Amino acid sequence: MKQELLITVNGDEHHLLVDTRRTLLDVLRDDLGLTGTKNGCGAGECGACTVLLDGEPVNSCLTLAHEAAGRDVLTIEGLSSGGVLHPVQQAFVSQGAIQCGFCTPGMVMTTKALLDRNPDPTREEILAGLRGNLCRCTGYVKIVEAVEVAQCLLAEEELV
Amino acid sequence: MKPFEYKRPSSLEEACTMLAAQDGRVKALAGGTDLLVQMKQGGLELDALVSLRDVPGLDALHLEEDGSLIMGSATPLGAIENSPDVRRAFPGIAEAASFVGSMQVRSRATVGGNLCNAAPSADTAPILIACGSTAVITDGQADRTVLLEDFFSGPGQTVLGPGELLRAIVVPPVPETGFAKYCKSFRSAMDCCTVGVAVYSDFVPGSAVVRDLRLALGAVAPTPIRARAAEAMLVGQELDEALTDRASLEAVADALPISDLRASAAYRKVLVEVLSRRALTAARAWAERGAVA
Repeated sequence: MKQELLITVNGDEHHLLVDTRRTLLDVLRDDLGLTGTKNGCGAGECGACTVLLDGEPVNSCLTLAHEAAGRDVLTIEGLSSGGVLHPVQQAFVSQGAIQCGFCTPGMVMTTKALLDRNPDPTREEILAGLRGNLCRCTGYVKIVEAVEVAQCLLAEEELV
Repeated sequence: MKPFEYKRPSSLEEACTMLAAQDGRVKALAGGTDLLVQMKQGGLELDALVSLRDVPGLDALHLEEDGSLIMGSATPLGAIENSPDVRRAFPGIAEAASFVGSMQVRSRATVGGNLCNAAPSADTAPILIACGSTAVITDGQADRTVLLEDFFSGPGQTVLGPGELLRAIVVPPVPETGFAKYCKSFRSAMDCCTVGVAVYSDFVPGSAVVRDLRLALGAVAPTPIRARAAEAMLVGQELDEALTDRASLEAVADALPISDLRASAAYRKVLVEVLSRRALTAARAWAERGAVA
């Protein structure tokens, strides 16, 4: 059953006709071609599909597209501006916190949400924040370091 | 997933009317973090989903003047976990909310969804039962209330009738001499609880003498339950180490666990004792410190 859906993604409004069964993840990837958001487990365990919905991190695989109607969605594609990486992205690159890269968009979006909420997290709070994001390559050490570097970069930005 | 109708009412009345239709093949959709998994992987087939997104007031979270906490059923667990009011007045509830899933899951998952799914292992149930919470149920016209401990009727089943909706949870005020905590066995993040034990204890001021106490167990019976035999042993007594040990063992008497992929029944019984001891020890330490965190 298709219904009309008005949704804002990375600042752009989209007017779509969407089957009620489809998730936000389906619409982002298949209708809007925003394939940076990954489809991992499809059950809210791995966090690869994390996007921000009105600023809150959510598993887009467990969010029906129509539940996001009229809301603001931010995906990994909307994070950089004018070709300049967001400080969280810069930190992941500079720390080598990326191996195969599949989990990275979700990690980056979760990190953004975490630092938006708590600009000065402890290592324990970082680990707790990233609990819902699985990485099968890195062993997490560099990812946690990248979050700490991002924390510094964002704090420096604040000062400027 | 089989096709279903997606409805988004803008009032309680409308929502309840929609829920009353379609012979039970309709469910309320709150955060969807359990429901979507059931539909995608668990073979749950529905004719319609009634989204609670636009029903006003369902995500209201506030402290009343008398100190009681009112949580709209569609309040996300993340909002409960991060609410300064809840963290100050009901730290045990904030902590229990933080034990559920991940940050992403808690952005969407709601307290009402956690309760209405009625998993025996629901993390919010034991602490809210221990705190003496009430469920406010509406049919769109009038409200009725039941004690949360009477809300569950079996695994996945509640006392909600067709067309009824859990509107809010009311947690009575915790006195300055009262302490509440949820202890859960978890292997790691994202894990369902194998056993959960919550305690609420009110002490005679300046002592560790128990004035009132409730001990609630999760994941060891078809529904969350109270360990009444252990409670009876504790009320009116000074909570010392020996009594803590005896009562923790007694808590096992009320548990009727099953063996499943997470744990054997025998292991769950051990966990009931261990977690009861942890919860009671935390309560005792708190009372002995002079009722301060």
